[in-house]
Amino acid sequence: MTEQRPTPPMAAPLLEVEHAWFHYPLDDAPQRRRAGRRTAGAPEAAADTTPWALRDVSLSVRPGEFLALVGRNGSGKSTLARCLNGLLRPTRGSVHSGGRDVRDTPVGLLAREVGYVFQNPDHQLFLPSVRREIAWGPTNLGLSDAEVTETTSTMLHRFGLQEVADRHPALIGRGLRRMTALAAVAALRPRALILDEPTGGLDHRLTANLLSILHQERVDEGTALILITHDMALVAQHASRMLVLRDGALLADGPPDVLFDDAALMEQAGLLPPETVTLVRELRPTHPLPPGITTPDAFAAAWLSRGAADERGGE
Amino acid sequence: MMVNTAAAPVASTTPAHVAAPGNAAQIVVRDLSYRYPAFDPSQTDADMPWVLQHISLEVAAGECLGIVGTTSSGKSTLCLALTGLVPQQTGGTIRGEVHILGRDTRRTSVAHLASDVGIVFQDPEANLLGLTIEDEVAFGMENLGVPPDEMRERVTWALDAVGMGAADLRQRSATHLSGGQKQRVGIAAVLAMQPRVLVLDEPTAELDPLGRQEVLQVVADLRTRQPDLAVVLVERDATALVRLAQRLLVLDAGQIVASGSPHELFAPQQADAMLARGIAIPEMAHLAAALNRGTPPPPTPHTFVTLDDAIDSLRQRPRAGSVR
Repeated sequence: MTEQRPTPPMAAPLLEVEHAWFHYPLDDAPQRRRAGRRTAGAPEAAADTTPWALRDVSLSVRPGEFLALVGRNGSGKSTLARCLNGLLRPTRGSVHSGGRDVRDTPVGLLAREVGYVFQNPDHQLFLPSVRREIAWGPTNLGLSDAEVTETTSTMLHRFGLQEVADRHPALIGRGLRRMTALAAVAALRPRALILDEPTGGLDHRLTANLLSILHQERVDEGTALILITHDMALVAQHASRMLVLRDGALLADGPPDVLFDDAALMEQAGLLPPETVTLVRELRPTHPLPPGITTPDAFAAAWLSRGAADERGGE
Repeated sequence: MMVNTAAAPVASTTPAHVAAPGNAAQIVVRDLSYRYPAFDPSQTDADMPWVLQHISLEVAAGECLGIVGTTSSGKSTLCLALTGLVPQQTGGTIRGEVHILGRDTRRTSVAHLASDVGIVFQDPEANLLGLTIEDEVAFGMENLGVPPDEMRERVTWALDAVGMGAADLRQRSATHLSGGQKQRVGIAAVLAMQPRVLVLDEPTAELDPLGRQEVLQVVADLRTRQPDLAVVLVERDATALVRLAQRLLVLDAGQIVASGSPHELFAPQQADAMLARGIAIPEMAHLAAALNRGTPPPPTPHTFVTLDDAIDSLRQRPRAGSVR
């Protein structure tokens, strides 16, 4: 938790979800596979629908927050994320985006508020050059040619894409393709960015690069970041808040360090905390360390300052 | 241990990517180089980059060789070359040799090689056909004309080996399974062919953490059940590799740039070199490296790589306040 900067306190929420329930219609092919699963204690899940994919979820997201959405496959992470940007509308309950009820707001407007970067960049790239891919969104928002050109060159620079600007996205490698997908969404200047497994298929170097760009967006523009991931070390290093989902229900919402240390919660959600958290817990009886340590670097800093305390004669 | 860098060569008596003497090498790769064919009509094959360059390695019966490398370092192409799919299905230019159980992969058909070497891909859907679990596992054998009685025995054996042998499960459709279960069925389908060589190309890449654990446990159990099986495992999870692999190769831009035991390659003193190559190291190796860099430096450097070793090692260190 040493590497994140504080978020501005108590700004008006960007996104507000109140008692949201959602189920997919049965003719929605991708969800049909899961129809075998039963849900207990839910209101009137009709026979012609799938089980509830979201169950009574409430949360709010403020500007500049970096939150992680975690849980096993099928726990409702992507469904919740799609409700946040209006791709899906809750069956019951409400979602407000920038103060507007998503049910009464056109999807185009919502997509501008909350950008969604898909897990597979190939699902959203379709133009023959990186530059045109990034210019597509601003052009469709009706910006002037000068504004489109300016936004595009800002994004090419920010995401390190100048050198490949005029190449075909298919030919620049997966890491840069992912950067292109992200730049194309960021070019719409959304107030929140949803990132679905943004580091999948990226090696260590590209992951670090991507995260530093995202932090910059967050700090400079106040963009809220909503990260869907299985990588708990990544959550520990970057997120200030973690939402834990299981079977469509929100099990917990709090600081990652506190939730990671809750062994019963981790077990219930089917999650494995970072090894550093387990190490701190195992050492606690003999070598207690201050709370909030979730990363190797934070552990090393605490351990070394503890050594310095020894040299001064201990406490 | 061997590291091929001009700046910091590390001497070694035996190149670590050659199998220990005495064991039969099931896989022998000699000076393999490969490039894909040109797909753009304005280019010729000669314009294409070499995606594998001068690869030599051996894997003995009973060994598990781990392969790590960055995105597009050549890991998947190397896996395909071990099955004969490269170059038989892909075309392109190949130099050097690949032998599986002594058979040249260029001169033996992929279908024949398939009974010796099985491959599991990262996408669970790509390994399955949408049949019942039993039929998924039997499919490959049907194509080989295995007699029905033997086929039933092998299906039972293979499903048991991956922990999916429950009678009520076998008749169900594989499409309703979790990702981890699908990968286990995919592995069973390959095992039923009774290969002597198993190639796993990032089998856990698309799974959630418990699914990953499930599949990696199956691989560990399998090596106990079938002690002669030679396994090649491409895996991004360094922690899993420390547990499973005896030897590790690091691929970078199609070349082997380092090899050794996982403990050697992921040791804290190698941490910076591995990270500079874009390769993730175990979280505990990262911690040991951070502690060793600290001031004052520890009296003896930390060498742990796994969580259990870290717990044991740090418990031995003086407690806070114990000086008094």
